[in-house]
Amino acid sequence: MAGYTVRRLLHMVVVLLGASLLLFTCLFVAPGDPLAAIEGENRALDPSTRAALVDRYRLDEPLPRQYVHYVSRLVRADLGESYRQRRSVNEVLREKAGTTGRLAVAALVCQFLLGVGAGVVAAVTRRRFVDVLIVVATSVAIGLPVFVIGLGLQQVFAQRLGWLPLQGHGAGARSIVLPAVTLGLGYAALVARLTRTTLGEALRADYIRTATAKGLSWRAVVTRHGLRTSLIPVIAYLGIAFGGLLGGAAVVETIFNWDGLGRALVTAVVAQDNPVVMGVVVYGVAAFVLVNLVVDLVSAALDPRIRLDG
Amino acid sequence: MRGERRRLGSVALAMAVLAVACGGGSDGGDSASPTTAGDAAAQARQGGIFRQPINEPAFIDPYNGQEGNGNRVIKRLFVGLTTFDGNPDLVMKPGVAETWSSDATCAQWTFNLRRSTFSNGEEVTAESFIRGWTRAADGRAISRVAGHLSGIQGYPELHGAPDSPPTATTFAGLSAPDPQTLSVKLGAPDCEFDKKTVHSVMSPVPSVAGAFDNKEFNEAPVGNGPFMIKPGTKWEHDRGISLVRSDTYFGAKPNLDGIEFVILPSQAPPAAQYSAFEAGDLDVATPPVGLRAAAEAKYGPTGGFLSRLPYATGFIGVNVSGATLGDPNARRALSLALDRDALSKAVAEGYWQPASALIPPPFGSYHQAGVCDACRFDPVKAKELGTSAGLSSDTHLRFLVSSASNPVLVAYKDQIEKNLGVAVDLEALPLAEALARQAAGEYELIALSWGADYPTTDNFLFPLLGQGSAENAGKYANTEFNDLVRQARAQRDDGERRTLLKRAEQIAIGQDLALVPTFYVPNQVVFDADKWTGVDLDFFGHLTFQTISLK
Repeated sequence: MAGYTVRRLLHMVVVLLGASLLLFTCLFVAPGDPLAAIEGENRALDPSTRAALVDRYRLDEPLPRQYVHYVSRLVRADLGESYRQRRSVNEVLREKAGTTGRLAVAALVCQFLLGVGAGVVAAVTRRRFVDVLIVVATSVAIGLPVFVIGLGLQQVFAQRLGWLPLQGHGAGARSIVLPAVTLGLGYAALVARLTRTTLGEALRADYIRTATAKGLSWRAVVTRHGLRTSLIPVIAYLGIAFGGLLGGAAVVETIFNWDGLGRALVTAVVAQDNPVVMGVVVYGVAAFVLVNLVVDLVSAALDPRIRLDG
Repeated sequence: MRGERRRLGSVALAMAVLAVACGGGSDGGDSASPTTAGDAAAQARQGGIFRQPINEPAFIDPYNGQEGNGNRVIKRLFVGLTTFDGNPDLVMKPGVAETWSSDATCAQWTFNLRRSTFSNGEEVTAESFIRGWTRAADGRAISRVAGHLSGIQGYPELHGAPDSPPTATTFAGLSAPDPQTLSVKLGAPDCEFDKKTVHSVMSPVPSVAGAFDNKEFNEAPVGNGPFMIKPGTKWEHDRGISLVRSDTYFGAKPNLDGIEFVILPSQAPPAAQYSAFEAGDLDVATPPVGLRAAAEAKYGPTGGFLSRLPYATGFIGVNVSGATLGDPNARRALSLALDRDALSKAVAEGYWQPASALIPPPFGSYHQAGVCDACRFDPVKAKELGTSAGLSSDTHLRFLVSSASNPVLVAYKDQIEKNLGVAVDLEALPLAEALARQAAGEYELIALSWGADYPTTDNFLFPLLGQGSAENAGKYANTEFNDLVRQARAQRDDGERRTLLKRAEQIAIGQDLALVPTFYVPNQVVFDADKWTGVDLDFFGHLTFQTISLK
């Protein structure tokens, strides 16, 4: 397993280099002014300030050399400096990663609990009313854009009912409920569908019939025998869904006024603050690869049939 | 770069720079107390934290306060040499300087400072100003607002230029004959230099400020203003900035205990701020376009709806040196073809005021309503003038805009096409590219607006229309206009200067229509008038925190 882990980490380096090259090319080769972030409220930069900034950020060098310079700093874990605020991108990530991390974990928990819960209910009530209801509800949840879910939840639970805060961090743990549900709902619906299918298949398998014939309670059959094997694809899926969380967080953090990586990314993209865009995405890619490595390791632990060194 | 250039169509709320609302006292440079609140406010209730939404600033350190969000914070933390209360004659009021004067040429200025301290107890002296201005003008700081100091002797040596690195580390034109006297030598006469000292880049800083790259000070500046960063806190990026009343402030103490600047995402839906206000999370908000009339109906009756014109004007920049619109009659035709009233009703619930001068109404005695006689709607006259100036169905006008789907810009296009029978080609470009195209003369029209950095009309006329200004990209050149602006800078008498500047606008706008004024766009906010009193906006769109108190 150690060899596998090391190999995966080496793959990660290749993925990071590829992602950074792709993004660098998109951001810096695309037409447009690389210093647009500093135009601020649509002011033009005076020539001497522009010249000083071009010099500071080596924007007059050929792009391949700029990229080599970027990678040489990346190797030293230095992600550069925000054009707009002249703050270290590492510092921005340090500040924001915790917020997005909390949100992502809460969303994952929400996905898991809501998704698996609904999936199990649907699987055991297959083709009955409750199952149909869950199938319809999950279709709606999958189809709705994140911002519609977010604004809808705000409207109902914050503005109409007043149960939860509309936005911000001010209300402690209550503040995270709506953002986490918003972020997790679409994925929870997919998890529910996946659980419904895999558990449904498992419940028709021979070993379940055997377990039932042994006289185990239905609950024990479902949770101990059926669910254990059905969860492996679900967990693998949650790993992949993690990548989507960063994209979703961009919308959710903007709607709910959370100061995380997603919001920093949106702000940077709109302001064309390229070093921040690069930094957040490179960080996101690294986190995604690492989470999926963990998911693979967990899957192997759950299912001895999965061999990691193959 | 002097003024603040922005595209028309972005709601003009965040005006840069200026003016803690100071007032009271006497006119001009006489000694006066910069009190603001007056007797009523002196008896007002103390306490309360006022929560105002802003977007993430770029900087809150005065050396690089370059946009409205940062300047909203900076102007609460720092007070410069002079202050401005929005009076119609643009007369400056004392700030740290109790009195000031210039020599006969207006190139040598002397400011006499009051005894006062920063919030950390350090005394504010002439050296504090020299430190702050030098720190910003230092070429290594790459401050984008340093240009406001460029009139002072020694700036080129300290700042450097694209092809010549800085050769000095001190500001040759600044000196302190004694701790309470600041002497400023300018490179050229400027009888309105005192007005420029309200800019945030001209703030004094204490010795703990250190160099421009002192991160600690960048994130939690120590100033001499009515508020200070809450002790033990600093700028929490994307979250907020907490200020508390400063007991060391030399002027009238604010009634508020503090200000909470709540940082909202700049990309949040337009209604988010208003919703947060209605949910009780904010004490003030800008209603979204489309809901302003409803907001006025809801909050107006109690006095909780404010609408104030800023020192800004929206306009259509014209390539006056190009062949198509080189004839003033062609530009007049263009202006007469615009139905400003209908456009305001269609896109701004009627709140935008049709402009009839470049210098907007808040300039008081400097504003000349109607100086642009072609700023009215007369399609018949427009067509007639257009035809005589050679505009025809073969004419294509390249119109540089921020967005080709912005309803205001589309309406301009439709009205010009319909009333003049020409073709208008909207070309949506990022500002930097639009300005490059403008500089290269590859355009006919560009939608812009301009807001003043300080209360001078020169800050409109010279940058936009003066010879040698980088912002005069339409390349308007009129010798008489340039002479008048130059004479005004050397004119010590306020009345005479006003006459010269008004005459300059009459030539550039009334006679030549070198650009087409379109709208004055008000700043509008709502607040809970049952809870707060004394809430107002200064001409730069900042809340008058020194007069706000709990009811």
